[in-house]
Amino acid sequence: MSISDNVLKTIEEKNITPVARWKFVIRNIVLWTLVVISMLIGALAVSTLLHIVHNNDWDIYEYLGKTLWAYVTTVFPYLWLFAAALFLGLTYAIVRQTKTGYRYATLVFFAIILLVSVILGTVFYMFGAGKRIDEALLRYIPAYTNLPHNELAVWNSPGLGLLSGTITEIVNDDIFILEDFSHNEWVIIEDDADWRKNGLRAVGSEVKLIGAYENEQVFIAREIRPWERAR
Amino acid sequence: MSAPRMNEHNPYSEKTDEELVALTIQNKQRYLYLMQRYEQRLIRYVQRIILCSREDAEDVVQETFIKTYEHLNNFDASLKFSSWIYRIAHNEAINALRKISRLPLTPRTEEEHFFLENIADSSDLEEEMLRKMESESVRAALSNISEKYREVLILKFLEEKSYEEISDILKKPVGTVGTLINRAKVKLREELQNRTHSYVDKR
Repeated sequence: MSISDNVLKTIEEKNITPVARWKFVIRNIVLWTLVVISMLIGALAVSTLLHIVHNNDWDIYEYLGKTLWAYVTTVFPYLWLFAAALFLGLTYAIVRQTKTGYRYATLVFFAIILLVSVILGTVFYMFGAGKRIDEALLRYIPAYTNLPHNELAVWNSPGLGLLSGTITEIVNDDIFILEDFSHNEWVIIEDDADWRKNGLRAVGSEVKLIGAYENEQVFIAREIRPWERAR
Repeated sequence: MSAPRMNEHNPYSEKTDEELVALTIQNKQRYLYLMQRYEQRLIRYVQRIILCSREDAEDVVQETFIKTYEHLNNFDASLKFSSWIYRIAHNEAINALRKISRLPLTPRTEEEHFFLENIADSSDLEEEMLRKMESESVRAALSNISEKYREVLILKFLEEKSYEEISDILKKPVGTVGTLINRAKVKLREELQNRTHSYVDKR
């Protein structure tokens, strides 16, 4: 008896039947859904990365006594770079599991996924997705607030000439009262201060100040910027 | 309905593999004709890639046929059926590799000559040297290079598969298949040269 005869006999005796087509269809749908989800999450990570990089104050390294390189390597949002890379790799791995995923040349395929993630991430960033994710995590995940890319610690260094908080009272054209984010009250004296990035001189406005520490209650402001990220 | 026998007239000899797949889904008896087409080819292929006995190869092919039948509804018409069933045989062979013992190599003169002609025609290998090598040496050299290299050489030069078919069988991009084949040729050439040197040294 040949192998073919044997196999046919086994199929009949054990009543083996082909697995239903719909099961393969569902498996394929699940795989491609995972590809889309993984790619979307990767793109959201890219958009958050772009939001943080774009809104970080890269020019304040001198106040902190650091070189630009040292500052960039300290505050760079590695978490989001890692998340983007992770989901990029995951997308690649899942596509490889699909029926025809093996046909794509690795480098070209990887480059395409990277390009799509960056384009999609940029679109999400433009629609404010990165900002919303960053804000939500800052509000609800305490550990996230302690990451180096969070600006709060940097802008709470009055001794180094960096202060931030909410304007609570406008005294006159040169002086306003500020409550910093640690709830200390400061008298801010504007020394011909430069209001940048459309900073709003009004009660309730959250601002970042660059200037000089005068004493425990007084800070001389030379440059004022709006506080754009959540805390 | 009784199963058709191998020695009966085959009414499906004109049908393509893909047509037989469709017919098998309607009637499992038709699967016999499909299996008969591949039985000997797959046994040889499995023996070559994992260097096992004929009995072990038959077991692997039996499993291959059952798995193929179970997954008939997953057959992708954009593939050649032969590529698909070779892929399943490849997977089953690799799975079986852990369980079965390898055989000592025996010469297969006709087969190796065919292989030698094929590989020498196609490549930048040192043709003269290869042509002069005895078939047993080639077989031994093939068995000494790693499985991934041995398999691409077997698929290309013994099974005479195209790059696209090898890509579908091994589930690797066509470019990677090309690279693998080139590296495999280099490995085989090195192995053959080592054997030649050993032979000369002994003399």
